[in-house]
Amino acid sequence: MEDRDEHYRNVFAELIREKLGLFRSIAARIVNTAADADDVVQAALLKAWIRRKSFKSDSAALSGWVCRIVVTESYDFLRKRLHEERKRNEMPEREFHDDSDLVKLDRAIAELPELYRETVHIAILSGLPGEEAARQLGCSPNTLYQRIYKAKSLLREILRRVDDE
Amino acid sequence: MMNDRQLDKLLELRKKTVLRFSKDEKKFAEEFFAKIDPPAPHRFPFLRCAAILLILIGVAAAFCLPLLRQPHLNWNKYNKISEAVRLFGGDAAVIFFDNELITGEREAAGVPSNLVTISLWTGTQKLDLSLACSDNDSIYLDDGIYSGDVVVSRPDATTLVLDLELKIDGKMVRTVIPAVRRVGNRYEADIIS
Repeated sequence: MEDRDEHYRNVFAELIREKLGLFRSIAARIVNTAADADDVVQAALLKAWIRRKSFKSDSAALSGWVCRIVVTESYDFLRKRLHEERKRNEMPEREFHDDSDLVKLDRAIAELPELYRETVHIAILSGLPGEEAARQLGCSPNTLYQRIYKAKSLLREILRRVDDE
Repeated sequence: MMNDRQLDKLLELRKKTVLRFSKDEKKFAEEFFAKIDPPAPHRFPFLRCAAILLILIGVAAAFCLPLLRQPHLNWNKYNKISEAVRLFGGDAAVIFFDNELITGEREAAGVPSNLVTISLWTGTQKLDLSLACSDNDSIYLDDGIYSGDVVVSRPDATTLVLDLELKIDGKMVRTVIPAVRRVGNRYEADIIS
């Protein structure tokens, strides 16, 4: 039992060594501060650790899974933060009343279905090469390109709607 | 309306977001492993608890045993006579008949070192006597109700012999009784006259 845990410790140590930059960059683009991004990545890794036995020896699958958890955790974090801010009545709805294009983009990405949101963060914004991104998302490069195409058209639709509002 | 090129440009702009992280990869990993490492298991918790319990019982026994060995004494009687000695000094003889204090004279010099309580049964009546005396002493009383004398001698380290010849409320009490040491300088006797 201890030997197995030692094995998983090594797997996670390697995962942090090799992929921390990727996890951080994904989280940082969503939560916008380095400290929050680190908290999110820690939380995602902890979730992965709890379910470590599902990933017997497939470290690529583990890494992709953590990437997706990072995206979900980051949005959960963002939702909680917005909720708290609204509760405190401090800068209500700040994120959505800002006119900058980047904020509109963030809002549009947040509105995407989970699959396409992950695609945008992991395959487009993280800067990973196509094949590596496909590996992280557990799909073929072709499927990934189709998802990217679909994600972009959804984004355009949402941005158009936001502009109309 | 946004076209593909504009969207790509915006996404490219978003991609350029760079944040500086204060923690390096090593520190981050240390924090993570600190969170997943369970606290060190307590080895043999049962044995440890049992050992603590035994130690506590031992300590409690060490405190309680002297008390258990100590005979049950009516400390109030001794305190009463001791206080009377303090008030009247070493030259006077002090005797309590129940709660009534009678003073008289005594032969031995110096503060009396022994405190004696006597339960004296005269018929169906019980009378508690408390007195202070030296090892070899004579006490003389000449009160209206209580008179007579008590002669004290010490045959051994734990016994005082009291020769009582007292007239109590018109009744003569004559007896020789051993008072046995109970604790320190406190002696006790129980007699049926």
